[in-house]
Amino acid sequence: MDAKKYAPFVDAFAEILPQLGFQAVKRGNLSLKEKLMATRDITAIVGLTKKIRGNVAYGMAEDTAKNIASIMMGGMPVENFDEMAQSAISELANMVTANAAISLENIGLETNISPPTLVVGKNITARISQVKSLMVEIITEAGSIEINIGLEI
Amino acid sequence: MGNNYVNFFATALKDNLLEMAQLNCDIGEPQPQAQTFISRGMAVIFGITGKRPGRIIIDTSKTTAIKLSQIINGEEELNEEEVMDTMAELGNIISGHTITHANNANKGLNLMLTAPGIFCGEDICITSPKIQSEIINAATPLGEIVVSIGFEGGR
Repeated sequence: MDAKKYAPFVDAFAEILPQLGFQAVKRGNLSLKEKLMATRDITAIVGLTKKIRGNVAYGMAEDTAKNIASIMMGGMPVENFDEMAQSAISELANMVTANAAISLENIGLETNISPPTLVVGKNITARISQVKSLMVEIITEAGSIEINIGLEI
Repeated sequence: MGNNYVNFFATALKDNLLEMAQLNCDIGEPQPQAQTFISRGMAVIFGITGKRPGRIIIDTSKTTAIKLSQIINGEEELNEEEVMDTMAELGNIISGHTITHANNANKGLNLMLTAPGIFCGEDICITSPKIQSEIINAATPLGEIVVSIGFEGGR
């Protein structure tokens, strides 16, 4: 597992979240996950092609997703995980993954990203890669977000 | 962008089901998809990158996925991971044909498929806020296979 291919996804959070109005962003647990994993309430999955091939899945509880959407919309209360909140989470996934893709390109690993897809539900089993994925937890004032990075390399 | 490729996908689905699982299917007309896609139990999701970014969902019930995987693998005893892998591979072959067709028809499109993400469970809702999709339903003797194809900004 080559750390330089994984670090940009974690660094992207530290760079993007403060720009969106988040005050506290720190790294939490880090672990290797088996191919089949249990997901949290909401997963935003973004696919990667070209020199890096795989998926990044951002997982969070529904309350966290609503808190994130609220911060991104300037503090507007978000009661339900509705279309606007879904757009906010999708945009967050798009921004952090695009930021990571730029960092990867800067080290010679040109990467294209797909539009994010949101998967919502409880008790879901997921497989985002044919190899184990690295899970890094990001802790913010909105709650905890897990980044599952599954790279087929 | 949309309808031609949805129709081509339908043909690829029909041909591959016949070839890989000796399965005939009836495919309905493409329909616009509602904002939220409700999964029947197992959803294989591919992202599309290139000039027209998008995504493909191939969705079945868990029972249909198991029966289909048993036929394709020629084995009765398959665990959940093997079923997910088989559905991902089936999706990869069909989606790959469609993307190749699109790239050949439009030089410079450079569409690429991402690795599949496979989600299995009850009550799965899938949304892609930036994407307008169409769905096709394939009725097979093993149950329904539903495909959703969408691109950013629609066709």
